[in-house]
Amino acid sequence: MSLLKNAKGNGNLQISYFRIGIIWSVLILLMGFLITRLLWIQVLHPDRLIAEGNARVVRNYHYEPARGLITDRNGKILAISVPVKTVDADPKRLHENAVADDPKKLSEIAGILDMDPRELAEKIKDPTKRFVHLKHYLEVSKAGKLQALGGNGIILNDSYRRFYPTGAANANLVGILNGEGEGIYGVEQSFNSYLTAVASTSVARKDRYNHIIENLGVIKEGAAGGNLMLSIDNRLQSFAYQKLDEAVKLNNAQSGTAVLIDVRTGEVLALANSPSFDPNDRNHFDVANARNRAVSDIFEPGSTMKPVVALAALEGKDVDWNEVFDTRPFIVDGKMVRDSHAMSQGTLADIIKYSSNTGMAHIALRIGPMRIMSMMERFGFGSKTQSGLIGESSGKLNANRRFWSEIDKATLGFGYGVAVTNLQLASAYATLASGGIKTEVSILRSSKAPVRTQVVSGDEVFRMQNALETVVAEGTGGKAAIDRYRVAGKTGTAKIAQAGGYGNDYMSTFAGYAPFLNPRFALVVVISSPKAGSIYGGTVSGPVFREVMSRALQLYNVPPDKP
Amino acid sequence: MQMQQSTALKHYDEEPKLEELKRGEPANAREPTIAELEKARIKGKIHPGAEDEPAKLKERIVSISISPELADDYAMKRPARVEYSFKNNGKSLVPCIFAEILRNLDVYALIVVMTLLAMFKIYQVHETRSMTAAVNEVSIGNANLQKEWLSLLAQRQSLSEHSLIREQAAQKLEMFQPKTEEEIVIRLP
Repeated sequence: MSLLKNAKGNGNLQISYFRIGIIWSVLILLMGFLITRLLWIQVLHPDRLIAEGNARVVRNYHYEPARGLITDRNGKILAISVPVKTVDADPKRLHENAVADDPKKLSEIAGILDMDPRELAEKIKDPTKRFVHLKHYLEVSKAGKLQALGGNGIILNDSYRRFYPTGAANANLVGILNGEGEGIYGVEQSFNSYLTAVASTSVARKDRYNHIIENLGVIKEGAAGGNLMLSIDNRLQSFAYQKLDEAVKLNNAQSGTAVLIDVRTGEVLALANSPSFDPNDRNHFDVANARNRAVSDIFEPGSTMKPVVALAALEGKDVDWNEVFDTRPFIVDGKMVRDSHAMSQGTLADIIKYSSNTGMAHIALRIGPMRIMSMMERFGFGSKTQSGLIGESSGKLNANRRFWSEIDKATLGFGYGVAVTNLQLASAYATLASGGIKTEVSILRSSKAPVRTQVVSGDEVFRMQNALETVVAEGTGGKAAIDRYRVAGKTGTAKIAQAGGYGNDYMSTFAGYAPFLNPRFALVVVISSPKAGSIYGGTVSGPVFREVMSRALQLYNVPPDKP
Repeated sequence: MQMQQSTALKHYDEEPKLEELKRGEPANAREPTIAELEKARIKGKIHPGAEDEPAKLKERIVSISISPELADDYAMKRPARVEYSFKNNGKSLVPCIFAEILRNLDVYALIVVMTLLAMFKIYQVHETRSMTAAVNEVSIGNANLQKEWLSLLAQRQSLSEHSLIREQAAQKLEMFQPKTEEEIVIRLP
């Protein structure tokens, strides 16, 4: 200031106050404008600047944990989500990077993607396209090489592929996922929400090297999928599946199921279906083979229901073990009731042992259908088990039907007119095995004590057990006998109901348990429509029962109960 | 008005009258200027007691020794309370600055502390960001390891699949499951 001489004019410069005033006011105005503007955009309306800034450094980060494992009771994995990459291409970038017209690179990429190079070239030939799907599942190990080849023209994304190491053996039980990763069929569907992982989304600030330098918060909390431990023992399951599948093929049958239950806990140790499907190969997926027949298909149980009917009669003291029944064929409502094993008379034990339809028809006619129905209900028929499996049928008891013809009443005695699932039947035989104590079945390995209820008098059940042992030892179930173990069981050969009556297809069943003295396992094998000779439950299903049951007894170190 | 004020900084070509200074009330009813006092002091014309000038005065012993014209100008604008100099009683600038700093030590110390704190804050933010980056790297690494583990688990599972091993054992090693009647049962006590 002092260098600017004032109006006195004894300096070099002479500037009037007016001019100084002008300069000052211009400067102040400019500064004022600047400061006001700064105030405006930074303090009063800072949203846009903040948004612009954030758009450059704030990013949403997604992370999807894997869907839960499904394991068997020993921790063997039945279903696992394996991380893979999905591969898409950006043809425009591929053309810019000179990849699209480099045959050598293209054939290398096609090699990694397991594609025909010409097919790949065809897919990416249009340089105006920005997105072409190339491959659904690429192993993570191959991703790096592919990215190096294709640069930013190859778009890789994290994904998971559901893998079922045990393949067809568990396929019907475990089920599969659909394209969106949701369970369809089996346990995958039943426990879908528990198994499903929830992807998390978080916001973070990044620096220019794309490092996350500040975690700003979580928009959506993620959660890993829960792991599910089934009650299945995969050793028994795969063995049961193999034997069942063999038997189904050997007998040229339509299908077969086998259910093995631990009598003490109600846990399902094996639940096999045949035919099955390869859950890892979605190209040859047949919906017809996907359902879990052991719980979804119902059938008339036939002779395997006789012990339950007999117990209903025994409970009401309408029959006793010493009564001798006339077991000659007889006619009800113009229809002949007869046996495959002819005998003229026998006690209840003989009726069970030789599976006499006529004897059971007499008993059923004597006590009436309602008492039989009630006993069946107590054994769990007509209602779903507590397994929680998807597609489970409750079976059909027709307890509310108004009119019962005599033939209906008679045939109910040997297991017609009602429909059950294999799981229900297995549960009923587990109940018989444990002396009339019904244990809720469980498909999950349970840690808590099972729910047990006494559904029928133990004494009568124990007498029934003796009769059931003779079925295997001397009667129709000889093929199910196991050396050194006492086996109790019942064969069943029921005609399959078709539209307009019964045809020539049979349901061959063997239901039983072992060891006799201290029952451990109950197993029901059902083979539908065997067409290669024998149709009898004892011959068709009995051998499967014997093999699977002996393997179970061996694996679980169950001591033999026969000297 | 300017002319009147300019008298406050008169250049004495001749010695000021001691009596005048001692009296404290100059003849023309003004306070003695710094230059006057200074000059008097140098020349020893102020008796020893004058060394104990009031602090107020001491503070003002900052003389003007720039060109007369500028000094004039300063004198016009500033009422001789604080006057600037490139010299302080003939001493050099640096000790003067230090003296100034020492005098306002608390203020300067606060400035230094604030600067250090600001630097520390910057350092802290940097550290935090590096650590956040590292943590995120680790968590991404963890997720990747988790995925790799899943792949390996799946691989192990398919290699150890029960039915596969059973088949291999039966075919390659000719192993078989003993029949139930061949088993030897050992009962543990």
